[in-house]
Amino acid sequence: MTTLTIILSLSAGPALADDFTPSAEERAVYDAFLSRDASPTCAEVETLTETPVETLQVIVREAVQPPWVGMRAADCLIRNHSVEIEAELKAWVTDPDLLGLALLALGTLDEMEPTVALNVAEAAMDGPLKDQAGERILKSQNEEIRALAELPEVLAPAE
Amino acid sequence: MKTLLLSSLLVLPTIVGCVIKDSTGTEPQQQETNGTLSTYTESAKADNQGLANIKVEVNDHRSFLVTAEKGQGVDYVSVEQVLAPNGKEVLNWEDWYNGKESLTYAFYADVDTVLNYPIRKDEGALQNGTYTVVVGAYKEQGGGLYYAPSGGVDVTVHRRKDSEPNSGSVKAVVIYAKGLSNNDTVTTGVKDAVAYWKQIWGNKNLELTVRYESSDISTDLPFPGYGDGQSIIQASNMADGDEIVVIIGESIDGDSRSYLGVSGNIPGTLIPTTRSATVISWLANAGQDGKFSEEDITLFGETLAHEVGHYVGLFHPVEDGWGFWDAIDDTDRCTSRNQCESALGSNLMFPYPVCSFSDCVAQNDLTSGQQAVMQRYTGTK
Repeated sequence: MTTLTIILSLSAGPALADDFTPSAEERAVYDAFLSRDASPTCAEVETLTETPVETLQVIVREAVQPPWVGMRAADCLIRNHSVEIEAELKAWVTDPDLLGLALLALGTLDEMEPTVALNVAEAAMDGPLKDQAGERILKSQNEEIRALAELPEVLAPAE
Repeated sequence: MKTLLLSSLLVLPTIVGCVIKDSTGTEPQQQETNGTLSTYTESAKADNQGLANIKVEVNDHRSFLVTAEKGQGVDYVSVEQVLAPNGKEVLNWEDWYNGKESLTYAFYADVDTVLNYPIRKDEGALQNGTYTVVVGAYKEQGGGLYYAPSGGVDVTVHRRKDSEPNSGSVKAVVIYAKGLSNNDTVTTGVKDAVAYWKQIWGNKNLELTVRYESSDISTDLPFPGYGDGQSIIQASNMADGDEIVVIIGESIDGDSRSYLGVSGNIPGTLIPTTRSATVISWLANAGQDGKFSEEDITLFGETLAHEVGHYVGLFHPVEDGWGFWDAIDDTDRCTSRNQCESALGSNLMFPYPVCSFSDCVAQNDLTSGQQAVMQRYTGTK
């Protein structure tokens, strides 16, 4: 009886969100990110779609479960497409409801195009996630970025 | 796993025969007994063929776990053969190395190798007497591995006695990386996920006990065996005896592959090495909002149970690609995505959860054969 129940529930499959139906390419990229262990590389995954940025953006926006799929898509956007998604990156690092994306982006600043990384770090330091941002910005290898979170030197009082 | 990539370097210039020559290993040192678990260490030396014979005395023991680490003049080690007390060969690397079924990573050369024996029901119970575990010691030259005659091999042997082989208990210590033990989102999420992990294993007669520790380990965790192995050794030194180490960090290997979690080995060791832990990213398991929903907790609990399932000896019942399977006879030999999702999609060790964009099928099942592997792991009491 238990076996029968499992088989029936599997054949029915989990319900798709009512208002979203993925394209074949979106589904292929989503499936590629599902593994609990190692994920394919971004380069490998991006061969599954003719429009990698758009497809990855859809995955970040629409993939609710499992939680790591959207994060893996976001990671590929950060590493390979930071220039194209600069506005989105700034939105992630300033929105407390997107804290996971914010921490991911702030932890991989050195993987972004340097000017984008600087702009994203500046946006984060001006936003509500300043405390979390500061800790991660201090780990950047880029001196200019790191300076955004470093405390100004206290000048000795004049004699 | 990187272990497999590294193992592809293995080039054996000679075929190893069944004749066992005596190694010049030293007598066992530092014997310890902790309840039903006894441990000893020895410094062995490979013979002139590059093989070290590790002797394991069995006296009403249920299982043993041999951890061999590279010593002087050696770059890599692997298990090549196991002989029963009657001299009969019970395991040979050549039967498995290029096969379609995975039994243990002990056959694949790395900086250390870990063999638990017996692995499955199929191997039967241990016989009293002296088992011989033959460990190959190798040097790397020009991209290939060659035997290292007289090379050093550092060995630790754990042996377990057990009067109830059909049930068991496992102890784990969850160690938070720097600052995470003060993060309520993380600690609450981990504790709730651990509660589900306990339920999954408990339903299969495996009791799980977990305690928690904080540490100053970097939140960017190393991939076990690579990168900063010292942090894994540091964490493992916080474990008490037969506890399995789980480290919770924010990212793994700089998020280079967006890992959720990585098991140090299959099976994992019980002594501190650069691979003696399962590392987990809380952030990848929390998702875009950085918070744990009820569904996130279910999947996180499954991920913990899955990754530590590797550590206690389980492989995926089938690998994505549908051409490689575990060596357990009651997990389906499916050969296509649809077939495998139907037959094994609810199995805890399936390589990925079966999901739509919005929800996933529960993955909490283990077959009797998989349970037998977990119960035979020497860390299992």
